[in-house]
Amino acid sequence: MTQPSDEEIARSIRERRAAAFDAFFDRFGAALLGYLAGMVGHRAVAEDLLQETVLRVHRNIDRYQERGSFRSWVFRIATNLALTHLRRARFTETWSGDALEQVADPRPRDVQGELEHREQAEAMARGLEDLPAEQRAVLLLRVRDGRSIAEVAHTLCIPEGTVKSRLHHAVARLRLSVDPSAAKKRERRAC
Amino acid sequence: MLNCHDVHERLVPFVLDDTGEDGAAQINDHLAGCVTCRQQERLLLALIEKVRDETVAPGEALRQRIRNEVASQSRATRSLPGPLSRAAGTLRRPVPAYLLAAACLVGVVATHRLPPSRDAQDGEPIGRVVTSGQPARFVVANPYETALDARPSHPDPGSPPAGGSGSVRVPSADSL
Repeated sequence: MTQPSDEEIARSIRERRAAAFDAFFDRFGAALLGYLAGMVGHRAVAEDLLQETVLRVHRNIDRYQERGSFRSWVFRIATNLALTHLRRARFTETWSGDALEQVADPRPRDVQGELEHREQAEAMARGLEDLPAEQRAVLLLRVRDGRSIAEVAHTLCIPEGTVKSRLHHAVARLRLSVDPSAAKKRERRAC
Repeated sequence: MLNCHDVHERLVPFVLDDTGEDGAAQINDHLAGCVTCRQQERLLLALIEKVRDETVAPGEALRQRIRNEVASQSRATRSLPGPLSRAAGTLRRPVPAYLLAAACLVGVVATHRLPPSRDAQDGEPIGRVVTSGQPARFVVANPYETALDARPSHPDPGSPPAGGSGSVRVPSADSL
């Protein structure tokens, strides 16, 4: 059986079909939760934001016009909710290694690997926390969700050039967090 | 041929496949002969893999919770007549139909219970500013005052108002 397209899922929500919720959740649930967890750094908050995103999608489906991508529309709602939350919370529930562990899919690893993974996870968490929310959104949409530059631009309502620039800065900053020696090399180069 | 600085600037789009074929070929040429840039590329790839790697799946309990919320929202909006349903749809939280109906009823009753108001004619004073001997204040005309009782605040339109008080007039449609 073929999977429904994003637009077909949007139509089924608009027509209030019984299977619409599951189709939507199967398609977007994990991607949205991963994205929101990456944005706010806390699993429980991400779950609440996911719920609000799904409610808003169902509530406002009549406002969605099929000229644009449904996926972009959905992620724009999620992004707005995440940014609003971050502005309100000012990142009081900050990213931490534990938060990342909550998000990460646990897989069996050896002890040394576990330690390395934890160190990397904490460094990554610190790096993500340090990123401005707008850069974090671009990074997560492009890298984690695999959206194209054009799709990210459409989702966030910003020019493609801004997406590229934010992405570049985000990755550069993240790299410095994960590999502090890169910062030293950079300083040396600057001298 | 690109130098290390050029490659460094283009490495992020390169590892994300955002560079065109020509650009990618140029970077590949450089990487083939530059150990430092290859290390940078490997580091970036590992970093990006790490961001991609953090998978998360919503559990069944979460799915059920959200499904219930969606169903409840849907019921709340469906039980209303068309225009109210659309209005309720714009609210952040679903509003029960009986609350909206009660609010409408209160509005209708309150409107009918209001004292009969005398619509101000164009140019008729709706009140006056009193300034004599005290800080200026605005006195609203008595709505129960009948037309016979009403006294113009300055009978002679050509003379200034006595006692330092003046009238506020509703501008006529012609003067707007």
